[in-house]
Amino acid sequence: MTTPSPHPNTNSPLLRLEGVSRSYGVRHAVDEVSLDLHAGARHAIIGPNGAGKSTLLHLIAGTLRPTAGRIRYAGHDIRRWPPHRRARAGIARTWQHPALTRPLTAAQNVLLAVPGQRLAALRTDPRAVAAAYQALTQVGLTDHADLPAARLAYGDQRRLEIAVALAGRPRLLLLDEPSAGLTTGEITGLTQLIRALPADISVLLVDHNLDMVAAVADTVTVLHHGRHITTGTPTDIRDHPDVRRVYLGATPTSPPAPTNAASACPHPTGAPVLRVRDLRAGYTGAAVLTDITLDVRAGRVTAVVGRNGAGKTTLINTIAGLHPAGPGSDIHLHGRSVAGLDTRARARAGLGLVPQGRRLFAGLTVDEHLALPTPHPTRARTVTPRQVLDLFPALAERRHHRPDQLSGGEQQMLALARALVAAPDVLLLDEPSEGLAPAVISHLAAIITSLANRGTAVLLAEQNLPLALHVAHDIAVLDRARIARHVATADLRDCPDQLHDLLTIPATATA
Amino acid sequence: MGLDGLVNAYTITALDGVAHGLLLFVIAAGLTLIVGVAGVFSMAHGTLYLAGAYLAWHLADGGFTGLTLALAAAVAVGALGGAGLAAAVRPLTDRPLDQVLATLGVAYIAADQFSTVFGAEPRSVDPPQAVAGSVSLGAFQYPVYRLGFIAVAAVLAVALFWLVERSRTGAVVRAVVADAGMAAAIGLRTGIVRTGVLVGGGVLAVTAGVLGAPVIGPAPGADTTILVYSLIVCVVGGLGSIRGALLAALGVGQTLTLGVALAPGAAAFVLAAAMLAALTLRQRTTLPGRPA
Repeated sequence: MTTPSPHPNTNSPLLRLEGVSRSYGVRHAVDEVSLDLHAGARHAIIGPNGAGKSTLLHLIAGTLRPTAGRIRYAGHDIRRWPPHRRARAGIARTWQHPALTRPLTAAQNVLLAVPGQRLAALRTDPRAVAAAYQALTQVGLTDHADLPAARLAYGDQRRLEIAVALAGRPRLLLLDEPSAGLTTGEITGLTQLIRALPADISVLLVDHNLDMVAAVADTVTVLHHGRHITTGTPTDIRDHPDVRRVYLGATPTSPPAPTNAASACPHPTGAPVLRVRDLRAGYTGAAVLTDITLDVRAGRVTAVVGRNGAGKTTLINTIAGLHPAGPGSDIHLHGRSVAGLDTRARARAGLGLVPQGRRLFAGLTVDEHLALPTPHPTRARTVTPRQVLDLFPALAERRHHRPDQLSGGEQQMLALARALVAAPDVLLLDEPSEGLAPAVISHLAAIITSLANRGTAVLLAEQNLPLALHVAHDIAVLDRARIARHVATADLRDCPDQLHDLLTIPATATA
Repeated sequence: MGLDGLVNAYTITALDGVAHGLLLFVIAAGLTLIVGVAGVFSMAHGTLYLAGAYLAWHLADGGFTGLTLALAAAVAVGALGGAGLAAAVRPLTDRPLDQVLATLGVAYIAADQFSTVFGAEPRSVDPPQAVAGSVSLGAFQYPVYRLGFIAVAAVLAVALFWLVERSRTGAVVRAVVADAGMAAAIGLRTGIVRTGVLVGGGVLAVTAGVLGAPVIGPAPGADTTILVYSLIVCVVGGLGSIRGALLAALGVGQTLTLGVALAPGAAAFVLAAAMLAALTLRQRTTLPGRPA
């Protein structure tokens, strides 16, 4: 598969990928991707979670080697070059999380990356210092040149990373999720910075923020499950039917069934069991969640959807007590504040967690997993492991197996069963459909619906929109660290495009 | 004769190796759980063994009364020592290097006190007279106490193995080793599990000191020797793994006895070479299979 270049450029491209693949066993993280990048290009790669975007950057930067295909850069086959050789040849990169030398000042961080310095030199080469300051000027950080990197604001740390990359005088700049964790204002600044880069630097960026991608990129490539879907201008991409399908996850032939329990009670009826007020959380200075306010009612499923990196997992973990909440956050369970309680006390108070990635206990059998949770101290145990196993017939036949001997679906069922043994009043489900086959997902959907029908309040964080639409009574859209919309699912079913628009093209009107 | 054919200088040495291996297992099993559960690399673990050995020496009266008294005292000393260590490292949670320094400080102070109280010369501890003799194994004489020690240590090892690998208590401990955050999220008391493991590990180490005193006797420096062997067992066996600790301890026991007997010229390198080989092989076999 060769992608026709959108540029009418007859010169050979700066970077050419020819059928590049990277496999982990039978799983293809990147599957025969071909693309051309011409000198001066502003090329973006987008795609849902697990599309292989970061892996592709690793393959180009040399931190991973392709299992098949060729990578040509400036006329050389660089497939076997180690990362440092590629860096010296002009390929610079930034990382998904800032990789800076935190105790050193901003200027020192950049200085380390300026090429042509002698390691044994006693005095820093004044030309190198000048180059470092020039890079800092390019990203607008000269005022903070003498601050330690650790003390810079998160957005400035990301700028500094770009300055470090620029100091190497790159011909190709790879940016991995540059907007992750930035505020709207910082993203605007970043957009301007990328647009102001000189034309002799080609940029290949991976990002989830489609506004920013549309603003900086002249060409966009969409990946899905490691495969190349399409390449085109941002406008072409936005209207491309395959892209809409990829982001919605649904095929037009299987619309969500409108006749399930969810539509029977379209308005909030149950009492709110879990109340979240003004919840804030973040990582090392980057605000991931601000002012989240949410009610989860008994017998109802509330789904939190949002683009990757929107903060869904942080929200679930903060409610469960695995991630610290910011000041002013309030979490009430049965009208009692649990914000000051530790993880265990919240579990005892009736919160059940099925975390992302399942987090099963390595080395423990299915039976041991189900024997661990202890019941709510203030009431009689309402379920036994046997009753829970009745819900999951496949697990009942694997009671002496350990997690690594179970299939992905069985592992997910075990994670769910482990939470159910403690008879939680509120069940927090984080990406339960991740990596599961469609048949297993529909089984999962049936279980979630039946749990809600028996009175459990369910908070579901889900990337799989068809599943969310199928089981949830109402849907909260997480965008830019806050809940952009909270609507009843029934209102959305009539026009699923509305949700699609919310997730891919966040209208400025909602901000 | 089959038995006579089996009994030679090497099998007798191997039997010594089993005794050493089981002794190391009882000591190191506690340490591996302490590291796995509480994340504390306790540098005072050898000190607990030495405390047990001095207890045995101090209370030895040539009969079983002294041994029983020493064992009872060992449980108390071990529990107090473990709880003390738990209290000492509690303010240092999530600062593993500071914990290492704190427990190392405890070990130095204790070693100094042992020298002051018990003297700087090695003490030999005689087993109770009833089991002080030897039995003939083919053409060889073998100490009765050492055979008894192997039996007792084997029972301890099996009990410990059952407790950790088969009981619900053990499942709780292993769950905390695997993922402490998730264990808390299903309502387990991870803090109490941490303290409990430090206390249990302390009791095991002091008890091992009382029982093992006739094998590895109380002397200044014995604490460091035991600590180093225990750390080797923990690292080779995999932190937090009882199975791994058992295999590694038996391996170290054989290396220290049979390995040295087979290659006396290389005695100083045998353990290091065996450790390097074990770590290289283990790296290959366990890394890809480690479940999420």
